[in-house]
Formats: sequence, C-alpha cells, structure tokens
Amino acid sequence: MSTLFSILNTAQSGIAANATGISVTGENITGANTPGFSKRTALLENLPLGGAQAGGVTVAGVARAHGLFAERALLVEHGHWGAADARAAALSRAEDVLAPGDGLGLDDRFADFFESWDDLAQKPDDLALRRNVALKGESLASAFNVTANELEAIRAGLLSDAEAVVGEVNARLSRIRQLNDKVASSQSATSGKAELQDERDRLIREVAERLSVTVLSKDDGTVALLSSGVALMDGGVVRTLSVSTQPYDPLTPTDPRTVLKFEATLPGGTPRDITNGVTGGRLAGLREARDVDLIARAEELDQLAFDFAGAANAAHASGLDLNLNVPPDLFVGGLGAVAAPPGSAEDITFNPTILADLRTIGAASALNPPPGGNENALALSALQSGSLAGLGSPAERVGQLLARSGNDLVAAETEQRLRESTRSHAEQLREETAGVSLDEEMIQLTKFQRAFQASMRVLQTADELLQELVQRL
Amino acid sequence: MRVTENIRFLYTSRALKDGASRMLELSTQIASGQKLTRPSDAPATYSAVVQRSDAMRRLASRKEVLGQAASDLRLAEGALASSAELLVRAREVAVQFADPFNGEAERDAAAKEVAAIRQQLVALANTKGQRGYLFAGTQTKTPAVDATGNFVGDNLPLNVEYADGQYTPSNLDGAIAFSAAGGVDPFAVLKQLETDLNAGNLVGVRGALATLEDAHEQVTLVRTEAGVAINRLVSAGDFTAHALSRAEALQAKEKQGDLAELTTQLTLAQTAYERSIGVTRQVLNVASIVDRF
Repeated sequence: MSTLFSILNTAQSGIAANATGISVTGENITGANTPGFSKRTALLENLPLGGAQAGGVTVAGVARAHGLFAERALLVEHGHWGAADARAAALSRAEDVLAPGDGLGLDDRFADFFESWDDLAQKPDDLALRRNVALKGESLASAFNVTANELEAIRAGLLSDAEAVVGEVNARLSRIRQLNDKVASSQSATSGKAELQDERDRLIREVAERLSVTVLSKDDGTVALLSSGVALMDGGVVRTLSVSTQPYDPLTPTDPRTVLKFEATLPGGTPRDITNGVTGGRLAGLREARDVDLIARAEELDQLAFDFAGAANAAHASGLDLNLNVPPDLFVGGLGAVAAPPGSAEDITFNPTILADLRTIGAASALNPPPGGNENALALSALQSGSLAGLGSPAERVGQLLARSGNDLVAAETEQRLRESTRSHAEQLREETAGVSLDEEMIQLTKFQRAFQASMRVLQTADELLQELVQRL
Repeated sequence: MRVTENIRFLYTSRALKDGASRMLELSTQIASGQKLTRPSDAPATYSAVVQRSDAMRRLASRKEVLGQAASDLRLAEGALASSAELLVRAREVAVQFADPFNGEAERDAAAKEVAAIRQQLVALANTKGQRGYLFAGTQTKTPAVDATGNFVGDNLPLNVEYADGQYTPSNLDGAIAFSAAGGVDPFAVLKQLETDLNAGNLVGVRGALATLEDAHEQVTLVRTEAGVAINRLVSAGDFTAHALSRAEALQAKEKQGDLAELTTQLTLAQTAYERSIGVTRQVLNVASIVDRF
C-alpha cells in the first residue's frame, strides 16, 4: 500500500523522467538539420511497486533510431555515386583536351596541313609555300604532342587525386577506430553514445563515398569495416591504405604507362594488393577513368599518329624533292615500324631535316627537271580524304575519337545523375527511419510537458495531504 | 511514409537545382548561338560535324584553287589571243613587204616593227598570273622564254583536283605555243623575218608567210585548249561551290541552335523553375504544428 511519502517519490520520478523526455526532444529539435543526426527516443519504464516506491517511471535509456537496411543502402549508393562522379569529372577534363573548341582541334590542324599541300601544288618551286608546309606539319605534330601530354597530365592529376582520397580514407578510418573505442566504453543507451554513433556513421558514409565498404556491427556496439576483400578496420586494428603505380603491361618493360595499385597494410605487416577489389567509391571512378578510359583514348591517339605518319611518309617517299632525291620522312620520332608504340602521339615530330632544307620537300613525282611537277603534293593533299590503315580518313578518325570520348562522358554523366537520384532515394529512406520530424517532436514536447505538469500536480497534492495530516496531529 | 523536414528540403532543393541547371544550359546555347559545343552534347552528331567541317575545308580549298587556276587560264588565254593578233600583224607586214616595190627605208621600218612584235610576243609568253609565269610549265618562278625568245620553261602539267581523286592540268603547254615543240618557233620565224627585211631578202620574206600562218595556228590551237580548260575549271568550281554551300547549310543546321526553338525551351524551363520556386515557397510555408506554439 502506498504511503504519502511513496507518492512523493512517484511524483519525483515522473518529474525527472519527463524532464529527460523534454531534454531528448530538445536534442531532436536542435539536431534536426545536423548531417547524420539520428532521432533519439527517451525510453520510459514503470518502476516496480514496493518499498518506498509507489510505482512511478524511470528513463531506461535513450534509443537511437537506426534502420539497418536504409544505412546499408545509403553506403552502397554513396559508393556508386562517388565512383560515377569522379569518373565523369575526369572524362569531362579529357573532353576539353580532345575537343578544345572551334579552330583549335586536331581536325583543324590536319585540315591546315593538307591545305598547305594544296597551296604548294599550285607553285611547287615556291620556297615560301614549302615553308608553309613545314610549319603546318610542325603545328600538326605539336597538336598531337600537346593533346597526348595533356591527357597524360590528366592521368597524373588523377594519381594525385587518388593519393589525396587515400589520405582522407586513412584519416577517417583512424577517427572511426577512436569512435569505436569510445562507443564500446560508453554507457549503453545514452544520448552521448548516440552522438558518438552518429559521428561514426557519418564518417563511414564519407569513407564509402571514397571506397566502397561493408559494415559489420558487433555486440559491443563497435563496427568492423570490410572492403575489397580485406578488413580495413576490425577490433581496433586499422589497415593503412596506400596508392602507387605499377606497369600497365608488365610483359613489355619498354611500355612506360602505369596503372594504379591500391594496397592495404596492417601495422607492421606486408602490404596486400586490393586493386581489383576497388569497385566502388571515388577511388574506383578515378581508377576507371585513369587506367581504362584515358588509356584507351591515348592508344587511339597513338594509333592515329602512327597511321598518319606512316601514310604521309610513304606518300612523301614516292616523290622527288627539288634536289632530285627521294625525300626524307615527313614525320619522325618514336614511331614504331609495324605497330604504334605507346607515346607515338607524344613523340611525333616534323622532320627537322626538312625544316633545315626546304628543298627536300617532295612535291614532284617523276624524274623531271626541278620542280618537276606537283603530283606528289596532290597525293599528299589527297590523304585528307584517303583512309588511314583502312580505318577512315584523318577527320573520320578524329571524329571517331571524339565520338567515343563523348559517348564515355555521356554514359558517365548519365550514371552520375542516376546515382545521385538513387543516393537521394537512399537518403530519403534513412530520413524516414532516423530523421527528425518537427511535428512529431512538438507533440512529444507537449506530451512530456503535460506529464511533467501532472507529476508536479501529484507532488503538490501529496504535499497538501501531508500538511493537513501534520496540522491535525 | 514518414515525412521529415529534411525529406521536404531534399526534394525541393533537387528540383531547384535541376531547373537552374537546365536554364543555364539553354542560356549558354542561346548566348553562343550553338547547341553543339562539345562531343558529349551529341557524340554521333559531333563526329559528323567534325568530318563535315573537314570536307568543307577541303571543298573551300578546292574552290579557291579552281578559281585561281581559271583566273590564270583566262589571263593565259588573253595572252594567247594577243599573241595570235601579233602573229597576224607580222604576217600582214610580211605580205606587204614581199612586194619588191617597197623602198629600203620602208623595209627597215617594217623590220623594226617585226622586232617590236617579237619583243611583245616575248612579254606575252612571259605573262605572270597569281601562280607565277603561266607558260613556263612547273617553273612558275622563271620566265618561260628568255630575251631572245628561247623557251626555257618545261612542258610539265600543274594539275589541280577538280573532284575527289580526279585531276586536270591547270596550265597550258607553253612549249607548244611558243617553241618549235609546237611545229614552229614563232620567235625564230620573227627573227628571220626581221633579218630578211633588213637584208631585202624578198624570197625569205615570202617564205615567212607560211611559217607565220603555222605559228598563228599553233598559238590558236593552244588558245582553244585554254578555252576548254577554263570551261572545265569553271564548271568544277561551280559544282564545288554548290557542294560547299549545301555542306555549310547542313553544318549550320546541326551545329547552330534554332534560336526560336531554344528560346521556347528556355521559356518552358523558366516556367518550370518558377513553379519549383512556388512549390518550395509552399513547402517552406506549409502550416506546421510548430506554428501553433
């Protein structure tokens, strides 16, 4: 049976519990716009009857809203979006290099070069027009060099980007490990613990955007992070992620191209190659753009430089120069004999021998007194509409290169928009389970306020009864 | 579905972002007048535009070359016409002074006229056009004949491309017109006539009549060839200009935006954006239980 004193205790428990409820609701209201904030709920429990306690209520803890499915979906979508966004940004830069605008592209330099042969054909003995051919040839070779160098510079920039992202991942893993420790040692079901978990989940999402991860939750409240087939973080042990480069083609030592290599290393351990497992997050997007897309574009450019130089040199060698000699190659420098070695576009050069002696340009085709005709100049000019290695004219080849580059970028941007949408959907899903609704919180606030006021009333009533009893004694 | 504050803001901010992005894209197209500014705008079309642009450069170059060649040939044809007239005049002199009744002074004067005709013929044989000496073959930088009338050029053609892979000579054979390669060396004939007139060799003067006729015929023959070549080049030039014009129209259609269409699209995008703003305003002002407190 309750005594008046036990009623006082009951009222006190109600006041304390509802004050906590108001406090938790306040946290929700103020944290509504904080990124990663999860709604908290004060868990009220009845106090057992008996002793000095005539029932009452207590706060068993603070529950943090957490939808496992929504969180996992969000991590996956962050990874997809990060990859698509990084790839689209890289391909957009590559497109700027390959298609710099009206009058500045490789196609324009080709047209200038062929036009110079047209002009020379009209006055094959004119040294000014021969100089023009040499200058346009130099300009074309330079356009190849610049384009190839710019593509390589983008690839170098993507390596730097990957290094920066790896640094960000490592910093976050270290912070997550610290938060893990704090979560494990913190009192269960408190606002403080919820705050630590919110911070940890936010950092995990940031890691997922950079490198796709899977989260394993443990009974002690800590989490393990798996990625690319290894445990990045488990039980206080964190692997350090690193990025370096490795040969693109290990079987060809002369091939200077490199691809990214990702490794994860335990403290004091041996690095473990996880490159092939990096399939999501910004690192995956950077890797695909650098090691697949841009290498493909560079190879096309090399092949075009090789095919064009081969055709131009062959046509030139069919003629005769003003010294009645077989003219030298028009283009030299790193061009292979039967196949386009990597870097052909970067190395192609207009033959300096010709620049030194413009009479060595072969405009004629037969052994006649110099200048001897213009057939060879016309043959060189005709390369403009001829097929290089059966794959199309120079303009067609440039068009194909640009179309492939454009298609890659369209696909990447479409993927980026799709992933932005699905990520947004996942965020909505998380918001549905863990987000804060101010309407709900205002109702909760009112509910706790009323209960608080009622508890006060109980206290007041018990106090009045006690006073009356005391007066009658 | 549980709707939180962030969900509302998520939707509205995404709608505003998409609307603003579309408006910027259309504004850029209207400002630049081009709907195709980079390969990813339309990869296949961009590739076609690059190829057509190259074809247009080629057609424009060909058109210019054909025009230049036709212009030079017209000049050459005019020079040949004048040359033919000079040879007619030389023959008239020969006819007049084949008669023994002319005095020595008249014959001397006639000899001087023939010498002047020869000098004029040298000048005509060395006519220069845009591409250099027109009758010197490929030796466009050196005169076709020297001061004494010796042909020093070559008889090689300077071809021009009038269609893909199709070539035609754009110069005339100066050797045929102005040297013995054509049958008669007109300069030698005129020199001999001058010598015969000075020497009073009437047999020689009479003999020059036939050779001057032959020289006139060979010059006229080359002039006829010039006419044919001019027609061919002009016709090819017209066709090239037509092809270029069509390519330019097609290029403009694919590359440049239709201003009316783009403006309409911008208006639609603007309307959509304004609606998004309206919805956002409504969402932000929606009556909330918070307002009751």
